[in-house]
Amino acid sequence: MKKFIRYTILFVATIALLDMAFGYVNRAMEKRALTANYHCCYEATEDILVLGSSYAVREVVPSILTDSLGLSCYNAGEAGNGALCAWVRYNMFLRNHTPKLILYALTPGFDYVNKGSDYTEYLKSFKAYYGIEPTVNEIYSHLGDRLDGIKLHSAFVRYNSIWIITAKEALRPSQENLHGYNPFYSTFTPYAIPDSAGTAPVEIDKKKFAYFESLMRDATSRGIRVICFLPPHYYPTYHAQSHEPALYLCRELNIPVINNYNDSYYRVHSELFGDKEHLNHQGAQVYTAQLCDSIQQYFKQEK
Amino acid sequence: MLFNSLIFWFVFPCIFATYWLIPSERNTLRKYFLVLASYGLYMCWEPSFALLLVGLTLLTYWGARLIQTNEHKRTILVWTFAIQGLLPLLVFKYCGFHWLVPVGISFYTFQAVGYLLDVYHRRIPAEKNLLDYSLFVCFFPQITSGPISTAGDLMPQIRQAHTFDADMAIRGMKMVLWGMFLKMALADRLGIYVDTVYANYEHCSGAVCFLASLCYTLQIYCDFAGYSLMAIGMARTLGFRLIDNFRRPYFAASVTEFWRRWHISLTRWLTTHVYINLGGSRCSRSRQYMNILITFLVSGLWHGCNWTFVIWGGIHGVLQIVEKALFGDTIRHELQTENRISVSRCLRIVFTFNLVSLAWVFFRMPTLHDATAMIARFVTDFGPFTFAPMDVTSLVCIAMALPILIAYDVLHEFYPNSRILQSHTLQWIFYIGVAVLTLSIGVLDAGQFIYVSF
Repeated sequence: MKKFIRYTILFVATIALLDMAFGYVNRAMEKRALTANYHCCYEATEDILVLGSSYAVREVVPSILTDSLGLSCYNAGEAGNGALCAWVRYNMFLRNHTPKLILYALTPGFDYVNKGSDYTEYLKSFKAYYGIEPTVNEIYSHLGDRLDGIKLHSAFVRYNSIWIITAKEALRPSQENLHGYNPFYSTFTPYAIPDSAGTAPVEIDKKKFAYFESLMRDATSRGIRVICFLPPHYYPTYHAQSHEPALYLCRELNIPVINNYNDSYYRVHSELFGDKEHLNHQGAQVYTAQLCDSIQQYFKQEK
Repeated sequence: MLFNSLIFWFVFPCIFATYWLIPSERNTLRKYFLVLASYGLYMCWEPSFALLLVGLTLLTYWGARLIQTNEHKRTILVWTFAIQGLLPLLVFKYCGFHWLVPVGISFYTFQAVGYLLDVYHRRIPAEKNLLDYSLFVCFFPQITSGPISTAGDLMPQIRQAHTFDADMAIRGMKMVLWGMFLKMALADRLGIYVDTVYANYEHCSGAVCFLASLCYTLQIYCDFAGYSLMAIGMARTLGFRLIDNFRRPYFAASVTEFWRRWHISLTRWLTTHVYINLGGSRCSRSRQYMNILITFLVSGLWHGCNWTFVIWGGIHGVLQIVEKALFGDTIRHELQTENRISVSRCLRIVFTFNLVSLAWVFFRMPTLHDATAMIARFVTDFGPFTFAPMDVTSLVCIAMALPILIAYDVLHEFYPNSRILQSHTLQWIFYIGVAVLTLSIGVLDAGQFIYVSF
């Protein structure tokens, strides 16, 4: 038995040491890879913070906002995520710097529409910051598995599989000078799809919505200007009802909403899209310029 | 409770420690503890499932005792008890109660009914000790997905008071680690791609569908062999030796050989209790072929009440009949001799792999129409090949893990006496590497094992 215990301890200790080393290497790689989490947590100094889903990270070009509005900008959107990730990154950002303006890409599907009680996919984006950013711990204790608190003590678990992208970016950063923006370079070929603008009732996930609401209320209470936007779609699929809860909250908090969801200009310019829902780099440039005009108008109205 | 869940890995060391802390002179206490632990773990799925397990245990226990003591009524008794034993399985799986099926029912039912049949055929005497027999039916490493043990294998080990064997326990832990790697780093990664393509095969090119079918071939092996290795490994740490359920099945050079390497415990059960009872090979050639076909149709039905499983079993049966008719002597000779690498064998391995892979499409698809439509796409849709449904991360993870599996299996298959496999230091490095890879690239939040649902 002694031999077995000795071997087991030796094995576990080796894994524990490698786990620590893995965490250390990953933190170093993150710095080089210019990840959004690392930037928000340790390096944020920008005046404009862009938050939201892929409609933020793929469709808003920070350099255009900076040139037009004269304010530095960082795009901290996350594809496949919404209010949960936005709340975490907003709090990470506040550790270093309070932005003057938050641009939020509304995505009902990720922000508050009920898609089941498994939040694993949403939590994945920031699990590496468990134990570093208190908001991450809070969200995990609220939405995560009851064993997550134990699992996430391991760097192997925190960086599980995401280390591959981090390593790739650390070796060959694709984010240099993009300030978080992650463009699509492909061009969409339109095809006929059935009209899917249905009338099914939208079920709200109260837990997700609470984070969305917290973000909006906290930012406005701190005096940070918040502007929400609905970017264009080639085939608009969400019916208006799904936007209502967000629009209602925005009205209550006096948050302007720039709505280009059904913008007819984009419906006839498929070359601006990377796929049926997302603008490509060319489209993002056009749309960001349009967004800048709308923001400037709001600023003028306020004056 | 799933072997790949974190909570299990808090529970298992407690079971391990308590089991070995009970002195070997108190073997009965150890067995009580193992029965309790096994039921406890099984009830984590659904407490009411335990009632079925208790019922089946008592039924087959008394059934076997009656068969042994009533010489003149043995046949009617074995039929009565075997049908009663199989009844829950038949009701749950084949009468539209799929959503209610107790976990592992196919496995422990076959194990218990197999015992009954063994007693009837006088291969073993009926067990007198109910505690020992209960442990035989509910032993936790094998209850959810096998291997299906025979009483001849397991009962003597249950009766015996084990003393701790460090080398055996270390070998067991190595098997558990390797099993975890197969399941988490390979099966679940491949599963992401397979699930996406199989669910949307109408929109995928023939090449993508074909790749997905190959991926499923690997996925089901890694998933099921991974589970079996964990089960066997855990049993070893407790001093029990379970039957090896897989012997690198994709290195089989014929479908006949494949079934000597794939799900060995089920093949053994079906051979003993179906094939041989039908007459086996001691009859006319045409009758033997019919026996093979029936046995494999039963094998298909054992997996579930769906024509896809029946066709899958049928394909395997027919392929074996064709092999027997055309190359019977060659295959028989090959099965009796040591495998050596040759060009011809390599080509036949590739051919068999593709046949088996094609049959898996029926196994995986929900309907016959979907299965045939997907296979048709292999040869009719020449659209572009893309890894698209697989993201870069998964692709890299598979690219890292798959060569390790191939190297491991090649070494064990063709160079079992290689120095690499004997070196203590290399073994340490290998298993530490496997653990690190499992944790860093494995899918840590994946769900069930495929065979748990059977």
